[in-house]
Amino acid sequence: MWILLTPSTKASAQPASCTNFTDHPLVAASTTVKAVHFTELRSCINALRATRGLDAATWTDPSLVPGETAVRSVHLVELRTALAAVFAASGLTPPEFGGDTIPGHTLITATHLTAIRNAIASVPLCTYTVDPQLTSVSGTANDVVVTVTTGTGCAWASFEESEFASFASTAIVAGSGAATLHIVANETLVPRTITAVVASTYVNVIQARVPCSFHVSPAGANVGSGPAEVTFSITTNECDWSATENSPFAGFSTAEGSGNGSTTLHLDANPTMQARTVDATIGGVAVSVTQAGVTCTYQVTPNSEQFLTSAATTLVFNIATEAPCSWTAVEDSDFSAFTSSTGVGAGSTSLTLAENPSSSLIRVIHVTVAGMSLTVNQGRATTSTASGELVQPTTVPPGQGDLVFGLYCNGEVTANYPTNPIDMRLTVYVDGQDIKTQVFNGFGGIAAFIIADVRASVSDRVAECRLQSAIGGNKSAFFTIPGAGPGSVTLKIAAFIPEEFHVAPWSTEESVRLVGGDARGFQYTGGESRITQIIEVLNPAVNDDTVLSGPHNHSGLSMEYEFDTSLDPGEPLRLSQAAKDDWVLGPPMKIIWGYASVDEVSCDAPQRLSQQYGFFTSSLLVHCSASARYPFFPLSPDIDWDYTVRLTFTNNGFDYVVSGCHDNFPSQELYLNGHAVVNDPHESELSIFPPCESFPTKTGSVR
Amino acid sequence: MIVVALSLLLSLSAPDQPSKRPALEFKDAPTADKKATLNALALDRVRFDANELRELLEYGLSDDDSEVRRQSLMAVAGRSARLWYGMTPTTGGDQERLALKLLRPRLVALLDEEDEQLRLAALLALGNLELERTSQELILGPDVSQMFAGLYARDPSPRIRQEILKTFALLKTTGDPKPVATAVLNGLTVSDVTTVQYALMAVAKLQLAQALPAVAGHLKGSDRRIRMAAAQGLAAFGVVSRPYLPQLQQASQVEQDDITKRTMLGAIAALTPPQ
Repeated sequence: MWILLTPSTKASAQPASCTNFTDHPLVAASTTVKAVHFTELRSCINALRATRGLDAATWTDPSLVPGETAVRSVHLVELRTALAAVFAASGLTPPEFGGDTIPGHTLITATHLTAIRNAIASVPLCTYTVDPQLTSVSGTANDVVVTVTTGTGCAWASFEESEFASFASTAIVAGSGAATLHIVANETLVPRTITAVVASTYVNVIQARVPCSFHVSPAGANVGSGPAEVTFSITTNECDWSATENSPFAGFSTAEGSGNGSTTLHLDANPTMQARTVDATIGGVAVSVTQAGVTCTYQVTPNSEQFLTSAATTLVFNIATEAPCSWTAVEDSDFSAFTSSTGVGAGSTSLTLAENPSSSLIRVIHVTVAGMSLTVNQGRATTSTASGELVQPTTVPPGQGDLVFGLYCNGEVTANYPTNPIDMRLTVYVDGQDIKTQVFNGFGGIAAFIIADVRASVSDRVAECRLQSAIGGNKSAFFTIPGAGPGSVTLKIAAFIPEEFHVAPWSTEESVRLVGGDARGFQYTGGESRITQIIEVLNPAVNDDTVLSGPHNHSGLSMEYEFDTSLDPGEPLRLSQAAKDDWVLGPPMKIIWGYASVDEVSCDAPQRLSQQYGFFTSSLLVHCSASARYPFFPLSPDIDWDYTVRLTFTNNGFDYVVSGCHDNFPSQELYLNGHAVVNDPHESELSIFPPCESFPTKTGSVR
Repeated sequence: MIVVALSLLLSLSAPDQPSKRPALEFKDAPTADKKATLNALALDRVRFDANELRELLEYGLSDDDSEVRRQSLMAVAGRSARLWYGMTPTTGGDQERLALKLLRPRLVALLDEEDEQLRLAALLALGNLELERTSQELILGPDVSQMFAGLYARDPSPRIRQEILKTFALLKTTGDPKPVATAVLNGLTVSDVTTVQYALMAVAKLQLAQALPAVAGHLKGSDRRIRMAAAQGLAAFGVVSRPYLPQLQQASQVEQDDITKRTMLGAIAALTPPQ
């Protein structure tokens, strides 16, 4: 804000040296001319010259000594000349002094001095009007222009000694003009006053403090639908602040403050499903808080498939949620209906079903309540029965001392939706002693299939699996299972070169090299291979251990032959016996031989798998892999394979699922207890480059 | 995903159709498609103009995904190996090889990757790319010979060191023989069986006679591969290694492994002066 004051005029009086002249007035023919008269005039004239910015005049005989210095005409001429310059600087015509020249013989009289004194009296006074003399400016850097109005030739100057301000020029100015005061920014937190002097007049400038700044954090927030608080921190340079918002459901804990501080915005719970926003201002900074709408969650009971009898009945669904969440209940049958198809907040609705008159058809209703879908089965109009038809192996293996065997029990039962749930009981007996009983929460399925893995360690005994229904006691058949499948399975994996030899890619025109092959086809036993991996895994149904032996990793002998000298002359597609028997390094026949590393051929520890009922099953997962390299193949990637074998033992064998990959060079084979699972002939040598080619998953059974 | 990969491959191999350049299409493809393309390249199941191939591989070698980088290296190795395996007409092969050689600086940089598998793949790519086949032998150029020797000195991975010594054992190295020999001699002193096996083979290949005492010492090695390679190494020196005949004979008498015993006996027969 600017404060404007009426400019005041300041008049300069005549200099003190121009008043109270000695012997004033001088009386002609009476007053004796004295040295002091000249001295006083000299002082006065120089003072007047100073008011016009003129330099002081220089005088002949600067020091006039009474009684010694003779009065000379030059003394009078110099006075007149110096005074005339004052008039000229003021824009005035110098006065007449009775002749421009004073000849050397002219007598200096009081008249001459009186004329000078009178001329001095006619010199106009200098007045100065300075505007402004008091003003205010903002805290930033500013220029204040001060104008000075005065008479022609009247001299003035400006100065300021503050470190915060300076004049553009401090030179003496003659006549009206202006002075510009440069003021630096006020970085302090308080206002300050800068005082300058212009034309001998004080000019005061009040500079405001640095502008207020406000930083508010966070700039905004997202909150949940419940009651919420968001605290904002305010950082300011000691300024006052206020916090306001526009919402009927929110308010600040502190509406006003000064300096750094904080305030918390409290929000009521949002009862709607729509998000809403509070716009607020803190210290002039806009902030925004968005409050989410209510997220509807629903819990519906019952929430699983329902099995009902054939009778007319009512099934009550309870919906747990909160207003304003709404829900619907729909079904798709023409023999049932909901008592309430819509609702808001917690509540319930009932599905009423008419009696199922059919003795052969089960009725199914698909219902969706509050987004949860389930099936309601309404049983046939029959009596409850249960029957079992169970697989019953008849062969009892001969006892072999402390033979450890496993039990593989399975069975089927058909039930006609009696009560829900029914229990079906699978019990294992050994020699008539119940050693393990599992109770399954049955379901009223049309064909209930139960498969369980139950282990027993017995010696030459008969084990028994029994299936029971909870209703009506032991109504199911029972069966006796004498033992498990094989006690172990041998996995044999191998990579081999079927040919007698293979021309090496690193052959040259002058030296054709042959890589010795394994000269065999796919086979479980016998024959050589580049790399072989064998592991015997135990039937987990009968053993806690998973590995019987292995993995055994075997590297076949890699050999290189010279083409020209190593082939059998009688059978050119075969190596000669002499070449095969050559164990002297280098040409002419067998050039080099050695074994590949089996460091990177391995099987993980087999993993027993859990069954759906939470018990260990007779399933075992075996993972074997290899990265092997032919020792004389320069700069080649490894020969890779990676097999995952899943074995599930049954009472008379095992099932398998084999997946994985292998390079397509050389030939690859995998056997399970001699049963061929992978028999893949090789392609070109380039197939040792990635990827490890996947093969289709292989499944099968070995009985 | 397979369908997408096939789509990419089809579009890459159909230059008549107006589409993005193969390399650009590759650059923007999902990672699984990139790998499928690179695998097809390595196995020579898809072909491109040589410069398009180079451009595509440049993107692959700089990919953010380390597995894509590795597959790109294996693609370079596969394409290069395919050339010296003699599976490509000379004209096209030369063009492709020249184009692939422009990737050399990037391959060299990847030798210093943190991941061991990436470094190994870079080694295979560089080696296959720089391998020269004359009518008589396979030659590793002087730059790569020295580079591999340097890599042996600084790389802590046994797998990488094995591959380097295997290369020195099987190929003719060129340039300054000293760094190569230093690497091979070091290989005789380590505990890794495969590294020692290849070091013994390389000693024979390079005829580093100063290593004969160490070679003979390995006749008592605990692993048959080392004992066998030591016997072969002595045999390779011929008459120079006759002073070690007694050690060979002693080793053959206690050797249990049939093939190793035959090897030692073969070496003895080769070194024994004719009667």
